[in-house]
Amino acid sequence: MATTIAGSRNVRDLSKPDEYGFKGLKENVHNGKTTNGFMKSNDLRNGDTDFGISGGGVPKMDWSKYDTFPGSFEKCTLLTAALTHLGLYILMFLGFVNQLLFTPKVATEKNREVCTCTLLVLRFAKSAAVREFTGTERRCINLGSYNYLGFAGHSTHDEVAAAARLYGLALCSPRAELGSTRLHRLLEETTANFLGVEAAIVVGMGFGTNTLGLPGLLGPGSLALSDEKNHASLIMGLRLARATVRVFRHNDVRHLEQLARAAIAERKWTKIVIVVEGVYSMEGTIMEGTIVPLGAMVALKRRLGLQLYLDEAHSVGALGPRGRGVCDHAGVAPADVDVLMGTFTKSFGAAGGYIAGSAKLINWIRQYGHAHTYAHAMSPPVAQQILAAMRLVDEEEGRRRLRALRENTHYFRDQLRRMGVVTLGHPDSPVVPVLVYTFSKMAATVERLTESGVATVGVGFPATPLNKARIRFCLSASHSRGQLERCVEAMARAVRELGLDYSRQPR
Amino acid sequence: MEFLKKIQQFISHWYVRYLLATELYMVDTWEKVVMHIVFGIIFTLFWYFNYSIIISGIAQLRSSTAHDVEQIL
Repeated sequence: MATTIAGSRNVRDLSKPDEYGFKGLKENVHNGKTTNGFMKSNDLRNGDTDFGISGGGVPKMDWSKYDTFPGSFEKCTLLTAALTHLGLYILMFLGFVNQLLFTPKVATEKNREVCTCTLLVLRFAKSAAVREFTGTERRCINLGSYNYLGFAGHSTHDEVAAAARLYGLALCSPRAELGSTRLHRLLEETTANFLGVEAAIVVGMGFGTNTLGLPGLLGPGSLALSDEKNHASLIMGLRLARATVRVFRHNDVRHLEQLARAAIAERKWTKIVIVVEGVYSMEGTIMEGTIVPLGAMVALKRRLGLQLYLDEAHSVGALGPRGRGVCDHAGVAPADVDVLMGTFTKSFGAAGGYIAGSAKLINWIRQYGHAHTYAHAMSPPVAQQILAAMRLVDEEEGRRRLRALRENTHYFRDQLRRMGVVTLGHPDSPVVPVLVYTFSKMAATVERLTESGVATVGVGFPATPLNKARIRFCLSASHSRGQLERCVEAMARAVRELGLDYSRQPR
Repeated sequence: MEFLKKIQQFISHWYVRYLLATELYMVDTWEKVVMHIVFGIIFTLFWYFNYSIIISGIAQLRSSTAHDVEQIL
C-alpha cells in the first residue's frame, strides 16, 4: 500500500534499522538470549503490506462494503441486571463475614474424575480432600470438551500405537537439539499444505504456541492491537514480548481502525499487529460474521499497512466447507493473514499447536521463538494422530463429519432459541454459550444437567465478566441426533425449573 | 394428600428460585441462615416503617384534609 501513502519519504523499509526506528532499542539488549524480536523486527510480513509512517493520506474504510456482523449479543433486562448485582453484593457481604470469622478456605478442585472422552463417565469423590470415591459412576453425554470433529477416541489408534512403538512416547529433547523425527517434519509439511501456506512449525503445547511464539515476533518497539476477548495465552504472550498492547472492543472493526490510525500517527512503532482469534471460546463468536468478516480485517490491514496474527485454536478443522478454519469460512486467502496460529488439541483430538505462514516467518520463529529451542518436542504418537486426523478431514469421512458438526450446531442452537434462553455468538459456531448471569444458576444448571446425564461446563468470573456467568456447550460431529435430543430435553427441564428463559426475542 | 404434596412442591420450587435469585444456593447453611435473618430484619423494619409512619401519616393526612374541607365549606 505504499502508493496510497503521500510522499515516498514517509515509507520506510523496516527490515533495515533507520535513524528513528529501533536503533535505540538495540542498546537495551544485554546478552544474546534476550534479543529475540526486536533486532530485525519486520520479518513476519508476507510482502503485500507496507507499513506507512503516516496514515493521514489514506482514505477511511467504507465498512458498508464488508460484513462486520459482530455476533449476537442480547442485552439483559434492567431487572435481571439489578438482581444479579444484588446477588453479588450478598455474596460479597458473606465473603467479608467469612473472612472476619474464619481463615480463608483453600479453593478446592472438582471432586469428580473423568474416565473416557466421548461418552463421559464421571466418578464422584466423597469430597475434594478425601480421594476416596463414593462408587457413584454416571454415564454422561459430553457437551463440554472441544472435540469438534470427534477425532478424540477415533480409530486412528493403530497408527498411533505403531508410532509409539517405533519412536517411544517422548524424545526427552527440544526440537532444535535431538528431538526432530521424520514425523515432525512430515507434520510440518502436511500442516502447511493443509492450510495452504508456505511453511509451518509445530509446538508440543497449544497454550505455549502463543506464549512462546509471540515473544519471538514482537518486541518492546511494537504495538499489538488486541481484541478484548482474546484468550489468556495471547495476553500472556504479549506481556512476555513486552510489546505495548492496546485493546479494541470485541469484533469492532471501526474501533480497531480508529486505534490503528491513532497509533500510526504517533510514528513511533516499529510495527503494528492486529491480534485476533478465529472463534472466541467464551463468546462463541466467529470472528465477525458470515462471508467476508475476516475480509474486513484483511482489507483494513492492507489499507493501513498493518499485520495480522490470527489464533485459530477453535476454528481450524471445525469451520469452513473444507475444515480449514475461519479463512475458509470467510473466503480469505490464507496467505493474506500474516501469522496463522492454531492448535491440534480441539478438532484433531491430539495435543500441541502450530504457527504457519511464509517460509521466512517460520524460519524466524524457529530461531527466535522459545518453543523450538527450549520446549520439549511434540510426542511422536501425538504427531501421528494429527497426521491421521488431517488426512481423514480431506477424505469423505472428514466431509461427513464437517457436515454432521454443522447440522448438530444448527439443530442445537435452534432448539435452545425455542426454549427462550439467551445464546451468544454466530449461528455457525460450534461453541454455544448460554447466559445464566449468576453463579448460583450456573452451579445449579450444571448440577441438574449432570443429574440428567449431560456433562457440561459452567464458566464464571474471572473467565467472564462478573455478572455474565454462562453454561458452555460444545457440539461435536460424534453426537448422534438421539443424544442431542436427550440433551435438549434435559436442558428444557433445567430451564423450566430454574427460570433461565431470559430471552425476549421471538421463539 | 395429593393436594398437600402439590403445595409442598410449589413451596420447594419457589424456595430454590429464591435461593438462586439471591445467590444463596451455593453457600454454606450457616451463611444461608444469616442472610435469611438479615432479610427478615430488613423486611420487618420495612413493615414497621410503613405501619408506623406511612399508614398513620396517610390517615392523619386524610383526616386533616377532610377537616380542612369542612372548615372551608
